[in-house]
Amino acid sequence: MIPLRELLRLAFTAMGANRFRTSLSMLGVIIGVASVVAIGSVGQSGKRIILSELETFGVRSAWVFREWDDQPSKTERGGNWIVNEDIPEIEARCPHTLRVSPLYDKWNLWASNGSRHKRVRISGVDASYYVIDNESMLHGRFLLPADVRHKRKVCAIGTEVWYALFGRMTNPIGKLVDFGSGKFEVVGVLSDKNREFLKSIGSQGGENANDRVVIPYTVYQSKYNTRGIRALQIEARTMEDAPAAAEEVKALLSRRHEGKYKYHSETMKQYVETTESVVGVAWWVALVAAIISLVVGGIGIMNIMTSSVFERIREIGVRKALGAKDRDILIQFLVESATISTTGGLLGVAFGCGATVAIGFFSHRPVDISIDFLLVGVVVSLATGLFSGLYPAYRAARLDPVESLRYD
Amino acid sequence: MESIVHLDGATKVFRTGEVEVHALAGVSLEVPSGDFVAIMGPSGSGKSTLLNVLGCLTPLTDGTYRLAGEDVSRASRNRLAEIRNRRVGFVFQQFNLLPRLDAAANVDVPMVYAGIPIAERRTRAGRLLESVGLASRTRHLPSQLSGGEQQRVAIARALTNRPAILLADEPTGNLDSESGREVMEIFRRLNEAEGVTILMVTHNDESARYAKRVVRMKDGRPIAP
Repeated sequence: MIPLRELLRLAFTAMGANRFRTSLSMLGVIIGVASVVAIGSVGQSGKRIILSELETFGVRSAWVFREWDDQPSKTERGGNWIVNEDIPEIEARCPHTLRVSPLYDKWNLWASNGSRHKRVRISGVDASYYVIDNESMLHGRFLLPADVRHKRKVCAIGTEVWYALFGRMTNPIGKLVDFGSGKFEVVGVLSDKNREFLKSIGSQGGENANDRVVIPYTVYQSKYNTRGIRALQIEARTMEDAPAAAEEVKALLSRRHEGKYKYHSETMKQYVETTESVVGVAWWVALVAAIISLVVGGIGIMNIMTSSVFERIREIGVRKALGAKDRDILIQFLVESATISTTGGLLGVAFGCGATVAIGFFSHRPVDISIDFLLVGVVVSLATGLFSGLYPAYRAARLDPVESLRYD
Repeated sequence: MESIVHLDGATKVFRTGEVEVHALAGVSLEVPSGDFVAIMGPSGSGKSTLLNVLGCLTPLTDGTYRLAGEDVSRASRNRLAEIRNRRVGFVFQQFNLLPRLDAAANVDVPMVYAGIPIAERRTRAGRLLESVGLASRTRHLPSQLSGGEQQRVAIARALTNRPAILLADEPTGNLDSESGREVMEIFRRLNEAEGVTILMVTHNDESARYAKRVVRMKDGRPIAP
């Protein structure tokens, strides 16, 4: 058995003898592998970006609200379709539901600290919302159950509200904010949530999460004089359980309100699955394109190897006369074609990485090179070389020594 | 002591379509160790086929061939390759050096197939090239060498694995008379000083004079001297 080092030396000598033709035959593999690496990296990064933004809603979340398409009779057009008394019932009777919080939202309200003003969104929620919505605090604390119970006028604010009203250099904790009806004490600053991508594709979930002011829902109810809860955000035990949890809550609400209202729900699971299926389709399309160029590349290599065998019939005869076995010749040509394709594959990896970095740079998004696809690219190019070299190498190995020595 | 080459009733038939050509028609040949045989004869007399058979490049149609005590008539393709590698050294009329390898790398080739470690390959190649007077030409490609130099590289290559027989097919056929004499002097030295057994096909009477004996072929058979 010839040492691999010798075989590689032979392969590079042969490649070097005809650089232009070798480069041309590598082109297909280079393009194929570069597209595998670039598309794989962009696809994975895109998926990660979307999923990380979806996580800012809590992936186990589900929302339950009223179905407005139910053609209600006059008396039922108003009414309170979810009430505070439903909350403990849900907590007690819905096994798939881990936590539940009312969710009120009011957009475009003016917040003020007396001298500075900022348009904000007010959310009325329970203390449990902290976990449900996957919040975290930059400073201070979130709403406590006691704040909700005692209807304390406290709030947690987003960073943009902090900066606009107080400036980055001022600690906002303990400061007062006015929303037009009474002052609220700031108890905490919510960590930033990045929903840039969702915003850029015009998704409904793409609203700015950092100009929020979160207050106890009980305070919200007093402030706006309402008893009906507009929507619930619940946390299921797992993402998989979310649809079941939502159904459970809807069934319980229907029962408690004697079927007067229809309820609608959405789960984060739907969005995660939609993302995965869109990314999956893109992935398959890319894969097919990459396979086509690798097949074309493989044919190119088979072509160059066939003519290489023809040009070197005499060399093969000499090698056999000097003691090369059929197997030695087979391996020599296989290693040569694998070296051509793997060199192409490595160049393809380099171009693919370059393309990935360029895409990240021009799209201003964090696109990372996928190590998985990089390895796939290298392994597939090696396999392409071995496969397309097989037939030419076999023909070379079976040549008759006397005939080949006589060949000119 | 048994002969290095023992050929008994060797027959080689080529079939082209309906026509059968008896390239070897029952050749018996004994070559003792240390002999130097010139094989002569007109073209088509079967001397090249005889050399191919002796070099284990082509199997016999019929008959027995023992090389250094081993019956090679029934050896597998793989075993034949091993025998060519270890027991036979070839020197061709066309030199047949590998054009992209330098002199040292050409000498290296049979040792690579023999699985000899690289350190030993280096020393042996160096020593062999030195013994044919090419110590200063080891890094030259065949295209940078004269015909005589190329043939001397080929001789060094043929000797790397210390073969039982050296087979030469018109070794001086492509050389000017001066280079041809140099090559024949090397053969003589190898045969006399080192006891290498040589079988050489030649048309050239002058080359044949270096041999200890001459076998003349006609119509696929040796003829009486």
